[in-house]
Amino acid sequence: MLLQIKNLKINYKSDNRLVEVVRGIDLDIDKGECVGLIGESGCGKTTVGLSITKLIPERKGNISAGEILFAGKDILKLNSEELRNIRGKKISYVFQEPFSSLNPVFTIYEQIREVLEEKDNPDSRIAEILKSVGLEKIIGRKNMYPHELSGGMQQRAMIGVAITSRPDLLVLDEPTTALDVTVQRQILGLIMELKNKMNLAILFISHDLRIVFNIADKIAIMYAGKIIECGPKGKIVSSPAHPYTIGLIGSIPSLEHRKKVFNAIGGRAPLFSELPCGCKFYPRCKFRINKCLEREPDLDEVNQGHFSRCINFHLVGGV
Amino acid sequence: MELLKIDNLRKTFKKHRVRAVDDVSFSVFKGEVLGLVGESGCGKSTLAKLALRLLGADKGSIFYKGKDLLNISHNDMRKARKGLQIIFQDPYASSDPRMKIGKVIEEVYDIHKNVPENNRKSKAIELLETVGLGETYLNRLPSELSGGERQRVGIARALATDPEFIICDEPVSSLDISVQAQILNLLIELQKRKNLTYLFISHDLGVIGSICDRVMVMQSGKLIESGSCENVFKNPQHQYTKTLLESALLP
Repeated sequence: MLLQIKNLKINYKSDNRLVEVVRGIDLDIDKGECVGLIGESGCGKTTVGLSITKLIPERKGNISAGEILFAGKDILKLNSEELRNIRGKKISYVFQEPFSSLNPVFTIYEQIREVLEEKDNPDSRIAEILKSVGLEKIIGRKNMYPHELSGGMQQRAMIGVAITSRPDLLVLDEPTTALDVTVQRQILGLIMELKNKMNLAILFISHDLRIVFNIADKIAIMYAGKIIECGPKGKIVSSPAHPYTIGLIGSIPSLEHRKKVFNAIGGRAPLFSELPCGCKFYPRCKFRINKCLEREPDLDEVNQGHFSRCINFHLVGGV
Repeated sequence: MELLKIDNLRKTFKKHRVRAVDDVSFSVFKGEVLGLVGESGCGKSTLAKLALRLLGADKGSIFYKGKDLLNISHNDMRKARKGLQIIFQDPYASSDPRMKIGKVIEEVYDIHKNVPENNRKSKAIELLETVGLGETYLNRLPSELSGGERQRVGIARALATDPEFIICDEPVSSLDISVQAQILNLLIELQKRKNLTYLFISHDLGVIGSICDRVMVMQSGKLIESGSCENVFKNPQHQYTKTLLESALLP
């Protein structure tokens, strides 16, 4: 296993209080595997992604428990020098807004060169990287700045910077959300191509199940700081076993929908400072029973490799 | 009945030498939801602003219920705006951050004077309830609301003049998919209940398919294909429409 997150807990500071926003997460990613991490805004999914290389600033919060094993080593126990050899090298990131991730005062060429290990005669390697992310057009154009590229090309450049160090793991946090649909499709294609070519492991963070259905091998769904369902993509698509997942799937718009009412999830996600007792999804759940209030359910196996945090899963899904 | 009729509308942004809307003609019929789909920069938001005269057109005509909107006084236009409303994509950017939600809605009554002063608060509460919020929201600030709640306020504000026709300009694009479904449900329900007419702008064909009766596809300022959703989705004629359909992420 390339990455193993074990019982990860993260607190954020809020008005002189600590609020637990990641409340015990387990997640495994194998070499060459794409895991989709799904959830609504504020559920803690971005925080999980950032924590993998300890990118959460201390003034904002801290990791209070758990282990993050990367190639067998606990990242949380590394000193800052050892961390530097992993962050942006073995593990790279691509975020939603390419323009705010790229440095506006350096050229694309300089930003790729900065990551390169072989500093002398970098041109051929940079050309190779640009080619692999579909930016043949700007090969040799050393004076291209990020603002001269379209959003899609900026994201390609960002992916180029991210793969320059030949990472083992790529963390993609909503990498296509700001892009047009046709460009989004191209970027997803590019990500898949690079994954296969480089045997990359990918953590793909998104709020949109449609994207993850197109790209992930495994899917984990987060709600209020915990994973509430996870399993192979096929199982999640065909037999979701948590009411929240069913609501998310019911929210997907389609060409044939025609003004039918969506089987959407009512209400809004709870605040971390006011989490309900028992099952955290109880207030919005269509399948709730009194027993749900007794204690927060465990993430139980409902089928081989398919887990759900719902005591009612046999009523809920097609399992 | 033809509610809005646009003929040969054109707008050029001279500084950038872009013809953002290029000889566009179409009609919107009473009680229908007409979709407008295209990628960023194709001119769809410009078209929306032109239709409400929030931007001046270079050429062409806009008839709303037989009235030529480009040839009436500002005063008459303000009156016409009661019937024509718009919901924007980013409800946070389109609201005053220091204005309480109750005031956001009452302000519409102050402008249009369509509700007597002593009635305005209760009307605002009624509207908030219509969009699934309620009295408790009267004294909140936009920053205290979630994205979905802010968009509900945007819808309530548009409904305050009791319009017939609403332009929805990417109203769900900045929302999570679960919240997006809630807002689409609300828009569908309001449209059916009040027999509203929408011009619904989106870049997401799934969203268009969920709410629209007819759809128009726009590319580089031009309408390149239009028809009932069923026909356009099943049997697209233009290559660009085919590309859009192939790129759409479908379940």
